Amino acid sequence: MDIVTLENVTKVYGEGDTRVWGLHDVSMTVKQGEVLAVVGASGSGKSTLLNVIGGVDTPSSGKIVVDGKDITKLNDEQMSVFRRRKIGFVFQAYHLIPVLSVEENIMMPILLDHRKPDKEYVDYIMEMLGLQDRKTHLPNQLSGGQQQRAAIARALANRPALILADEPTGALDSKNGNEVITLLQDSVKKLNQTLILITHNLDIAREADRIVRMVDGEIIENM
Amino acid sequence: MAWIWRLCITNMKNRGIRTILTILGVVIGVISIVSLVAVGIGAKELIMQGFDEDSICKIEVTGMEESHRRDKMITDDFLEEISGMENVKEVYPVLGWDVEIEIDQYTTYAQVCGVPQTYLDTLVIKEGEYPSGNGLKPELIIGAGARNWFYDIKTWSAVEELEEEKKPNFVGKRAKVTIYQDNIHSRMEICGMTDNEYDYNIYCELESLKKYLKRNSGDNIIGQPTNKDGQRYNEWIYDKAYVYVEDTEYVDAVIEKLNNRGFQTYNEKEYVDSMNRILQIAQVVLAGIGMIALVVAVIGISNTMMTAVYDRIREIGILKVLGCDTDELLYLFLLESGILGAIGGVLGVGISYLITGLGVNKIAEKVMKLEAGEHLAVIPWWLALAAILFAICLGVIAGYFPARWAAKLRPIQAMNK
Repeated sequence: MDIVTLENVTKVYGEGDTRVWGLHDVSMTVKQGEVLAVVGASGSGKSTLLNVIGGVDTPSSGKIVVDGKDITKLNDEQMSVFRRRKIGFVFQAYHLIPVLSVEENIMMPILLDHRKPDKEYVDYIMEMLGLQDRKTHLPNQLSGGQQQRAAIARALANRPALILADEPTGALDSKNGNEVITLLQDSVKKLNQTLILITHNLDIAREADRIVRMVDGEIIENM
Repeated sequence: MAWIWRLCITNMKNRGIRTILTILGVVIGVISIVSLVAVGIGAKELIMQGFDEDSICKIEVTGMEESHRRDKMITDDFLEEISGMENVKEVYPVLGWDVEIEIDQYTTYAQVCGVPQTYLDTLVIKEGEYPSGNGLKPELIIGAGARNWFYDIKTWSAVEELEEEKKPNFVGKRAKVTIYQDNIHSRMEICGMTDNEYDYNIYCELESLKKYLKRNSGDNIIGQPTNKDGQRYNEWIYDKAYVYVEDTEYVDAVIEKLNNRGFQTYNEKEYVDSMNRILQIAQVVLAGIGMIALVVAVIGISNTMMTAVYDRIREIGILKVLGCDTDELLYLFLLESGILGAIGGVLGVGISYLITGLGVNKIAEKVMKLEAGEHLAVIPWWLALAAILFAICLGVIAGYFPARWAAKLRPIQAMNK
């Protein structure tokens, strides 16, 4: 089953002479349960691809279907609901909310959706990511690796249809990076989730089910 | 929703000094508006003290004796008619006679009011007693205010200028009363003095006055008007009548009826009403000055909220990416500015109570020689409540535009700033 389908998606920044192609006529699909690595140089459009799939940016043209829904037709409000129910984000810079505890950060997408968090499931995820004794800590009391694990837990907590990770190991040393990526991939497999992962690290990319290489906003290799 | 409160309060704590300064701005604004309005209210209460409900419900009616028309004069028939009027509680005739009164070395010109015993009974006597009714001559009750109008013929100073203890006690004295129109002298006893400092009348009992006047008059009774032929009417014509209405709200209607009947009226309500208008204007002006301070506070909150938004632009971005919708983000920021307003409002009202209680009123007591229970500044509960609600509203309004700007940010741009 295809969880993500892109049809002729284009993203253009600026106008006239300053026009830049973020994405250039991109078409692709991602299957349920698949781990897809996106590789490419800086400015090749990897992040733009992730952003339009995650509904935090809108394409200039084309169609994006996520979990059976054409998200290019959603308004801002519907997009917010889509993001908090269907997408789990993991960023390079962790992006935890500094004033909330680890546990509150992890439950954030559920709280934003006005639902009562499933405590057992949240505990299970925290245990899986080795965070159970860090529950009440604030993000700045954690190491970089721990913060990224908390961010991964947050992405998983809502049982989203799709997890989008934008260079999750970029800010970590290789030891911590490897540990985090292993945990991420293990969790995704365990929970049968779909993951699109942007990375510079080819070792990490090779662990994925499939690799997509991007250059100048186009997918030039799909292996 | 607990997380929203957590976010708010933690953020306010993290920006401690800025939060305190913003709240300080609101506090000063609230203090200035509350104290100024409080002075307005207090001053009004001070001014209105002399006017109790009873005096406002009292209408003085005078007839037109020069008209030589019986229906324009105050007669017993007229009194009966008035007492039957809707919402009229009591009617008292007043027979006035202009006299010069001498008591020891004190003298004054005055009008003595002959009123029915029922009216005398309503007076509160401070010294002496009510007229006994014995004897051939009327006995006089002197108003506490009327005593002030006597002056000492030796020193030419008025009683009013004397200190309370040094004022002469007229009760029990025999006064030399001269009806100067007819130059009749008589000695009458002062039997009592009223309690009311604003009472400038001298009273006697009506029936005994009538008898006295009849006895001492020729064909035409002293002070009574005559018809075109110079003859007296065969009934008593009163100078005035005191008409009491049931409630202040009926005063205007009764006055209108009396005026339509061709009678002149005097009532303190007109005075009170015009006083009220002046006080209202003063209050609006005072509140307006206070508003300026509050406007400055609003700008302060706006500024704080704007910087709060800039400071937290990344956090806003994260929340948006995670799926926080616009309304909730708006709520988050409005809650924060509302809390700033509320804290400022409560502190401002609290400090206003202290300032008026320990400052303004204490100073006013000394400078204005206020008596116990009199205050220059009064903060009623509704003013306190309104000020707090107002501060909250201002906080929310001040926070609205920055909050809306924050809520509309595009998530990715915000997060990567």
